[in-house]
Amino acid sequence: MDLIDRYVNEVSAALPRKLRKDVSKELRSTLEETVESRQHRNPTEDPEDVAVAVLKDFGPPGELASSYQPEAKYLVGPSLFPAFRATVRVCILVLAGLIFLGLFTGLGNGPLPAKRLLLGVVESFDNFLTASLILIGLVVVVFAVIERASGESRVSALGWDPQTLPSKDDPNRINRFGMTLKLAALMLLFYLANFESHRLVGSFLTDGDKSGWVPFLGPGFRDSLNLLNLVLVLDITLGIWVLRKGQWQLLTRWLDLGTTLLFAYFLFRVAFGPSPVEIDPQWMMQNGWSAEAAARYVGLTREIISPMLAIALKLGFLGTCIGALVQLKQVLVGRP
Amino acid sequence: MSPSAKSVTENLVAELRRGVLVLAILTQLEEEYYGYALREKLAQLGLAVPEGTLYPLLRRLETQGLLKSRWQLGEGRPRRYYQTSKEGRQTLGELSKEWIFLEKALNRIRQAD
Repeated sequence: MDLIDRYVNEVSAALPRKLRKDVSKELRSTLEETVESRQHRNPTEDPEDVAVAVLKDFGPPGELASSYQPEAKYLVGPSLFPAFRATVRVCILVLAGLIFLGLFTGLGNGPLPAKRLLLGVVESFDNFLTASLILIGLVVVVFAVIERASGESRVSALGWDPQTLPSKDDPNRINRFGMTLKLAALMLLFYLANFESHRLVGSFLTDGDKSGWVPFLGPGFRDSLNLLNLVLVLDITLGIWVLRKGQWQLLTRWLDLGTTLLFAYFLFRVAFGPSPVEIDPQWMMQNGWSAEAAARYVGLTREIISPMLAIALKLGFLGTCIGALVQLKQVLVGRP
Repeated sequence: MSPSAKSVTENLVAELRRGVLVLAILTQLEEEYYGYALREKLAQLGLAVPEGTLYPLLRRLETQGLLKSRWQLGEGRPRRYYQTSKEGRQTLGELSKEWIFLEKALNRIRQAD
């Protein structure tokens, strides 16, 4: 009966803890009785063969265990899966783009021996792999949160009224796929800005024999991080609320306009205040870079990257203001 | 019949049988049985139930309150006996009505063809 023991153990291991003892006891008793009964009917058959035949009839242990708990429990359910897949793809592409850009920003600073070029590629690839794994894990967590937070909007068949179906051109109709993607992007941005910014905002730099990844985070970024966090938390909360309600309402439209204006203020502060990207020369020297290299790269960042970023941020501010006006019209007139 | 068509048919037959199985179990368990004996009884009456289907189903019906169970731990092998509960008998009544209604409807559909 060793096979039966092994089978029961496998089934038991795949069951929820509260079911294990009871189901195992019943399963063992049933299996033993079934084997005995078949042996009784075919006394010449090898007992081991009978046990194998009986266990085959019961099916693989995992399959049997899963039929004791038929309700599928998804971390990311089928309705969110297309958005989940799209988010993972976008994240990996953006990450690859950022790291590729970081590598080539550094490579553009003069001739580079093959050995250091290879080192730069390896270091960037290592950064990419580490950040990819963290990102994918994070996307799963983000979607698991959205899955649970927006679950209430799935009304039961009994409470569902077809009269509440939005018309095709109803301005309050929500695009679930788009909103889910936006929510995931906001949550990811929150995580990246707070925990991984040093890994993403920076560049692979070289100076003589020295080369390596240098983060570009300046005081402008740190000063505005709290405001960015506030905008993101408000936007995420609002997004989950709208997903749960299943449609836009006047109040949520006003709140959405409020978060857009707050985001515009954030962009304004970052675009016109101290630069969010700046190399810390002290950090570079503490990490083995020469004072000349630190001064050169600080200058490069101030003269090229910061002004370009400021233009981009100003354009972003302008675009957000236009977006806010469109939202205001939508709230007042009811149509985009 | 092609292998894929055969597999589709087998799945449909399995689904059909699963639907009827609850009705058969609730009916048979008006009298107390333990799992193995119930399976044998149903097979004897012409309804063979796959091994891996019956026992999880008994648990689910018990969780839903349609069956009640007790362990018998006397001499020999411990056995869990199941019986249709009061709620299960009410559900059985409803299911039986539905079964008769479906059977009549299906017969009418067939005759109309």
